[in-house]
Amino acid sequence: MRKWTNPRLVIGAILLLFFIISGVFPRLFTHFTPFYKDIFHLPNWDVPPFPPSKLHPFGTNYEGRDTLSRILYGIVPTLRDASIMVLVTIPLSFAISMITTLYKPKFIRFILDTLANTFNVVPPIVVAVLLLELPQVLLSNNGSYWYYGVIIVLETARFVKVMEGDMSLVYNKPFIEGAIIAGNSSFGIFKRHMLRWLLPYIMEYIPSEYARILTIMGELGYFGIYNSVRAIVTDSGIQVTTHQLSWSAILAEGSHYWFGVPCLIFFATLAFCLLILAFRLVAAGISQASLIERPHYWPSRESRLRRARNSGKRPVSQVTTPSSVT
Amino acid sequence: MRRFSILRSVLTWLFAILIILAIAAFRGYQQNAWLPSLPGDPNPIQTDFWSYFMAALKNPFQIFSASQSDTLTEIQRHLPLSLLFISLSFVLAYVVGILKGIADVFWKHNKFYQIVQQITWVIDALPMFGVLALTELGSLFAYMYFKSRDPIHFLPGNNFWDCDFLLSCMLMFPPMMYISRLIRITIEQEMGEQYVLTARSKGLQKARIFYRHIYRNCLTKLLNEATSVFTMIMSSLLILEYLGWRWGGALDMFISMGHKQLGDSGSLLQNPGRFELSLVVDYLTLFALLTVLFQIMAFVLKRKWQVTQDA
Repeated sequence: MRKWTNPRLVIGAILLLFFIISGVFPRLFTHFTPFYKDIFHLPNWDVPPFPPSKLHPFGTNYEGRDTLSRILYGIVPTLRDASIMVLVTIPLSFAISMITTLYKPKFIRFILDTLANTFNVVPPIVVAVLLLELPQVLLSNNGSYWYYGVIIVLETARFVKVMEGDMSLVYNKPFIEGAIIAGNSSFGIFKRHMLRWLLPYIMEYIPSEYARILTIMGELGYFGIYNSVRAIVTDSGIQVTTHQLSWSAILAEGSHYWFGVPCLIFFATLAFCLLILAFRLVAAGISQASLIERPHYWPSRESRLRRARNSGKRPVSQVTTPSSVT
Repeated sequence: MRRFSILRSVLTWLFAILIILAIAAFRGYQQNAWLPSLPGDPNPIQTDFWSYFMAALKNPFQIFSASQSDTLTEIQRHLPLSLLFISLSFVLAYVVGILKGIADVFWKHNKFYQIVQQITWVIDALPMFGVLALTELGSLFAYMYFKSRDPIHFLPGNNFWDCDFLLSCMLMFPPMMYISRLIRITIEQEMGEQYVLTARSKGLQKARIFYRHIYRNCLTKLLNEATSVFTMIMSSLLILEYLGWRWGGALDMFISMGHKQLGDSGSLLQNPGRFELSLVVDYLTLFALLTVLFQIMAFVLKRKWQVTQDA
């Protein structure tokens, strides 16, 4: 039990819990709604964007919408988008890597290799930008599905390789060989012997995958791509209207006013970073807790001296070097 | 058998490049066909997807022709900066990664170094866009607060050290951490080997065993990771140039897709530009070739090193 309370896991869980509570109960921290527009301050005749103050701790945007409220109300939509993608990516990758490890089908292997090579020759983010900015996708009513779909494909192509590696490690253990010789079916071996070995890996994959997908969402946000962009073509050009509350939408808006409203992008990025850090801390904590401890081959000087004292012998460092060794 | 497997890898690579070019051609065709429908477009283009696709296939072979001179000039102007970032961060990732990996093993009981380890872990856990944006805007706020309240100064600055070198350091961070983890694990494994334990029990000094045996054995394993390091650097290059305000090859390719620079009236939807197929295709092919060349180089070096070791 003690190893499950390691500092990384505890700090990550506390951070995550804080985000979830403030996302579910945003009114605990702010009295503005994310759509409320503070348009004029009478005492000094100021108009938005307002800098950070007691009234707006993180400032406002050009329309006077409070940044803190938008960040707090954006936690649930951001986690919703990430959860949808994680819930599809992990089972899909798990199923594909299980099939490729156990049955080694040539066709799936060919598709996976091609996808992996495609994302090796050019960065995956470039492929995502190329696909998600197609006019049919940008102006589609099903923009959300495209957004989820493209990120899921990109992530699955990367993640299957990782999962396959871990599954192969388990599959090559001697007891699996024993089970094969005993005449068990491939799926039976997987269910009976491999699954319990893979559980610690899966527990670590979930938070790491959340962190990965949030990173992609953030990067795409800077390029103006987020879930469900709504565009209206008018005589004077294209108007983008969105009531999306996810943090990617804040980043997309903030990247237009980089120096005009620096607080908007700064605090939205900070929130993204803290959430990603929380997931990474949880993943590292789980990995640390489920790790089989290895002995230190070269013990510290203190423990060496203590052991030598107890056994009544001289410690290794005090033994003279025989010339035959060199 | 070996020849057949090399041929299959080459074919898979060609197929991957073909897919990328097809995606770019489709995007170019769709975007440039969509723009004339918008108000105020001066010269609409009337063509079909296949002509775009054929142009995408031909373009890389015509890069030195007279008709492509503008494209070549543009590439010559912007690509060197990307190559500088890639090469600098690659070298830094290996040098700093090896040193950090060694320090991770031998200084693990040092309290001060443990704090350094935690800090580097946190920086590695943060996404690249977070490190960049927080450095940039954090330094902007700091300059405004502590200095002359002048909002012009921020990091990255204007000279080599606080601009290109700083950005290269940011770019090298994830691969550097990867290399250092790898070195740490390899050294710890080597330390448990029988020959090391025997030498140690006979009283040979730590440093002597380390530099004569363990260190050399670890270095051979690092060659296997050169491709992964390169891929990691390439995957963060676009966001680095975009958020770091450096107009290198990756950003130039992005702008050729019809985008504007950061803070310059926004996304593709709000202010769409024309998709410059020749430039995008040439950049994509160049980056793909660079990756393939690098992989071949790593493969050859690995084989050569193995032969030397065996001999």
